[in-house]
Amino acid sequence: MFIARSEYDRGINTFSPEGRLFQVEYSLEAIKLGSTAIGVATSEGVILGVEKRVTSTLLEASSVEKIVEIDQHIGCAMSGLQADARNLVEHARVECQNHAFNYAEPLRVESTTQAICDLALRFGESGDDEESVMSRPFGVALLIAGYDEDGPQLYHAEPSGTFYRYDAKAIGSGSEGAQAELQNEYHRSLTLSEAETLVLKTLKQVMEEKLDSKNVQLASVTKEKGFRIYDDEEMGRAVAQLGGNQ
Amino acid sequence: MPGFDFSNYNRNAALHARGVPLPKATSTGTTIVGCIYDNGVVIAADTRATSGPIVADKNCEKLHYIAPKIWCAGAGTAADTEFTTALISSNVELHSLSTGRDPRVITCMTMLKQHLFRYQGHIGAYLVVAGVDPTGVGLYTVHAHGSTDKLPYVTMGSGSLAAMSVFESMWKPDLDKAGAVELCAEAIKAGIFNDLGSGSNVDVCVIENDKPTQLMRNYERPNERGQKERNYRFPRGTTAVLNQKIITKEDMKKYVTIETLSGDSNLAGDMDVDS
Amino acid sequence: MTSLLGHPAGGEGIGYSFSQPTAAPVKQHGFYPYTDNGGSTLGITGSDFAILAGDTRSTSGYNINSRMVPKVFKIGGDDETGEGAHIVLSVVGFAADGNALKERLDAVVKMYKYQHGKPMSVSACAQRLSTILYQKRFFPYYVTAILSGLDEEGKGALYSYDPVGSYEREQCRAAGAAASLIMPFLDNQVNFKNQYIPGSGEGHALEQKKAEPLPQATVEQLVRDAFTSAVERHIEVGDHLQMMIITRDGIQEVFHPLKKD
Repeated sequence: MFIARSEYDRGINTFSPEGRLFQVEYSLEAIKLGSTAIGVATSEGVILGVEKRVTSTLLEASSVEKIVEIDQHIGCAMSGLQADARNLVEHARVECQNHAFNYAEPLRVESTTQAICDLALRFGESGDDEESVMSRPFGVALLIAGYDEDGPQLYHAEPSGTFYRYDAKAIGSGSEGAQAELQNEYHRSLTLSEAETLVLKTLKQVMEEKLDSKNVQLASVTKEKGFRIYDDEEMGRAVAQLGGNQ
Repeated sequence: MPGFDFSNYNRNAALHARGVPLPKATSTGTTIVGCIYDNGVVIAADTRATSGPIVADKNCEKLHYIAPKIWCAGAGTAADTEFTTALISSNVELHSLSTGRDPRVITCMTMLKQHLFRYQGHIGAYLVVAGVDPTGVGLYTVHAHGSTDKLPYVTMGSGSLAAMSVFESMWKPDLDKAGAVELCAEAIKAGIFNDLGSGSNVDVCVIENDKPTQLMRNYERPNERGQKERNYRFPRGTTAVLNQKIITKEDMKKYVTIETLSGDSNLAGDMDVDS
Repeated sequence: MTSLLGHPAGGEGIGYSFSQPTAAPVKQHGFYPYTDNGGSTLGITGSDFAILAGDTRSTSGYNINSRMVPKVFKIGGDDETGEGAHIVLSVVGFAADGNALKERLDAVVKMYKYQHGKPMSVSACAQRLSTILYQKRFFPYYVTAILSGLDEEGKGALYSYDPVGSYEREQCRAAGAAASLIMPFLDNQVNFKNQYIPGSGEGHALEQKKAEPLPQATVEQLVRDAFTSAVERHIEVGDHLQMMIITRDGIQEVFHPLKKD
């Protein structure tokens, strides 16, 4: 006989007597193992930043993709099981394209986030006419950054299917320390380049490796340029600026 | 050669087979009615002529003269009703002249049905023939294929069902003249308002014993057009002039040659001109 | 007898040099799911308003089904009356398809507001209507639709469609049975086509009269004149004129009597 709790671990959609869904809670644990990702929203735009965990000198750093584009005006950073994230991102991309096709306008950031979270709870036993549902919850959290008619926005989406809008948010292994740092440093009049620095500074504090332009990745969303991933040159400049500021 | 000219038949059949559509004939998708009363007969018609869904004429005449005391209401192909009634009118008058008697309605009806039957329905005339003659009051319908009916009240055309519904609910024996006129007008209005092929005004013709025939053109006008809200008169010079050429009276002479003819100058004088 | 043209001699054919019709086609029974219910619609926009209008007669053949079947609908309203709507759709052609299309677009616009937390713009609705129509490319909604409202700048917006979703934004459009009667009138009176400025040049080098947005009162008069005139010459148009006037204050719906013959 296992410990009492394990009886409720098995069924994906089975509540424990205390009213908990253990598999969903465990999936949240998986994210805490993931690399740190940070997002900061300002009035000028949103900055996303991730640590890349280059685990080997033989690893090609540019092949680690933890920030991806969803649409021209939306991008996301991930922490957790990257393969799961690809499913969510693919779904979000399709939703964005469908919306643009049907309505000749971009999908709103909140609606994109909602679309991702709609997918998050499609696990468990499949019904008669439902085809291929997932066997387990996703093991990844996303920071979704975008720009629409309501201005720049940052959302955090979890495997539980809940999402919240944030001014600044950190997820992943270093999230506790990073979130505390963001709490202290964030203010409403932050400029985009200040946000850039804040993200890098915060990442630097929680990373095990020494931060350089190869083991972090930044991206921005602005009204003018939409979603952009920083190239090597821009990363070099941003990291150099961080050094200069400190 | 009297009669119809069929010389284009083969050409038209060949064109039609290749997909060239037939030109659309003006049709009097129509309501026409007739009703007898104690001393005569009333016929009535609407005044709309259509070509497909388009109104070709808003106030056409569908009551045709055949003889002073025989009139005919026509539905179907406009040209067929007009020519058929005109032809029969001629023949009825010739017949009347050669017999020295007033023409009879039944004679006229028989001539119409024989003519129409000969053309096997290709002459699309649907008629209501009415009149008074020495034998009494006559009221008949004649279909394009040649069949006829003799009834106290009749309707024809696309509005015939609407009109007949009025007769079937309101007709009674021994109507007087005013009652018959009113009933016919009501029947036509049923067609005007409920049949899309019929519209505009009511024409009525009353043929009575010992009285001249009364043709009451536009007896009722229940569909007057209202005033337009805007003025659509254009300022002079609104239309561009592409080019202009003035030919004066003097210039005209260039195109005319004048020749003096010789010969019998008294030609006209020899003719027996009826004055 | 020898045929010069290689046709089999005799028979019913006429000896011409083009192909003879083949044997009479086999009689087939079939179900034709469409009917034409007649009527006409018309839309004109101005600088800060749009008007969509239609007659209310429903016909089949030479019969009148009803004298009061509206063809112009408020889309995405809060209740049955359409209160709160800011988009108007007119449909003319096959009334059953028109109704189905209107119900579907209405549901889509309402769902959009729930899903995205904002009212749908007229331009987004226009694109959505196009995809709805094209999705039935091979079994179309047998209707000519016109969509109208105010654009993001508050100007009158009007989009016209063919039955399979091709669409275009325009100043004015007539559709339905009397479209061919009304549209030339609109070209001339709204866009001033074939109207030149008197005395502005010689011969054909006259200056074209420039189209500019018309005031609301003028447009209302043009709409009423267009319909009273169409009624005179088209048998399927009549009974009542329904007008929806869209301004920033909302949608006003008015009815006028038309001739009933």
